[in-house]
Amino acid sequence: MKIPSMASLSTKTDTLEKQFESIALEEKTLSNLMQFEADKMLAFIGRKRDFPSNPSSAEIIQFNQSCVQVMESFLNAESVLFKKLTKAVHLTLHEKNIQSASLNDEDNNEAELLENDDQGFDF
Amino acid sequence: MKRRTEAAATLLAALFQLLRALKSKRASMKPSERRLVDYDLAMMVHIGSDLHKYLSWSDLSIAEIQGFGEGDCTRSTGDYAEKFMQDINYAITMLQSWPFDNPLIGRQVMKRLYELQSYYSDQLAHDDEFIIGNTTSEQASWEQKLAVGADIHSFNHEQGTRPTSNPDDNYILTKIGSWTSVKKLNDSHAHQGRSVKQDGQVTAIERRRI
Repeated sequence: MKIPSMASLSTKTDTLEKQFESIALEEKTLSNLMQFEADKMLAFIGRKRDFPSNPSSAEIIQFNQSCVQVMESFLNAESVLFKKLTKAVHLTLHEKNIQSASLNDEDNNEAELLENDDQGFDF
Repeated sequence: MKRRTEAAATLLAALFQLLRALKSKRASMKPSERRLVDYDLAMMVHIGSDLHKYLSWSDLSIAEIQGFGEGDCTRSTGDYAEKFMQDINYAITMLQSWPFDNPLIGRQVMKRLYELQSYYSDQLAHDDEFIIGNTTSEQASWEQKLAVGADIHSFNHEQGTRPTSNPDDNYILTKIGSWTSVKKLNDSHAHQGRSVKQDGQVTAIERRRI
């Protein structure tokens, strides 16, 4: 099996880092949206849970349905992000394994060179 | 990632508040409207717990990269976990007396909530303070609420269904599990040659007990 060079590895590592950054940014945005949705719910039901805007039953049901839709959107977004993250995690671990294998390979080569070096010191 | 998990917990906590508010409003609604409220409630709890699952699995994936020794995301539940556990327990207590028109919807909602409760009781059971039995007053209060409120058998009796797993049992089992692991550790120390890691853990536990 051919081990890739260190130059291409650094490019892959950069790409994975960028991938993690983009996932983190999306997660941050989603967490803000979740916080806003939670605030919206709390504002609708009021501090004493007495619905300060006096909504009708139909309005309450409409609000519930809008909450369900928003939460479904969160779920879909999180599902996609989770898949991206899982792939990125697998690739990162794979890269780490390759890097450690190539480093070991370099060490072995250096050791072999030292062993075979019969022109080392000329007394 | 921790901030995101906390935001999701806040959203679910707000959802529980909405359920509490809906309970009083529901009484003055028509039967068809009540069914819609029940259905939306079940959907929200269902989606909320799924959302929570994705987030906890993402945390585990991140922990895999970071290494469990340093920056362990699975242990980053922090103080909000205790408060969230209280919210879940309160929601369970409240929904046990919720007059669902369709008992199947009621069962689904309770099942989801028990899963969440089990997850957080497991997280808290792995907390160091919890393992050595050093409960805070806040923990003691939710333990009492749980012991009093988690009467699933009455709920099942009302709905005429078979009894399912008791959350009280789950909680006690996780606690026993923690103590058993400590006991096993001490036993292995007494009977076998102990490793350096075990030695450190036993010493730390003994120091805390003193």
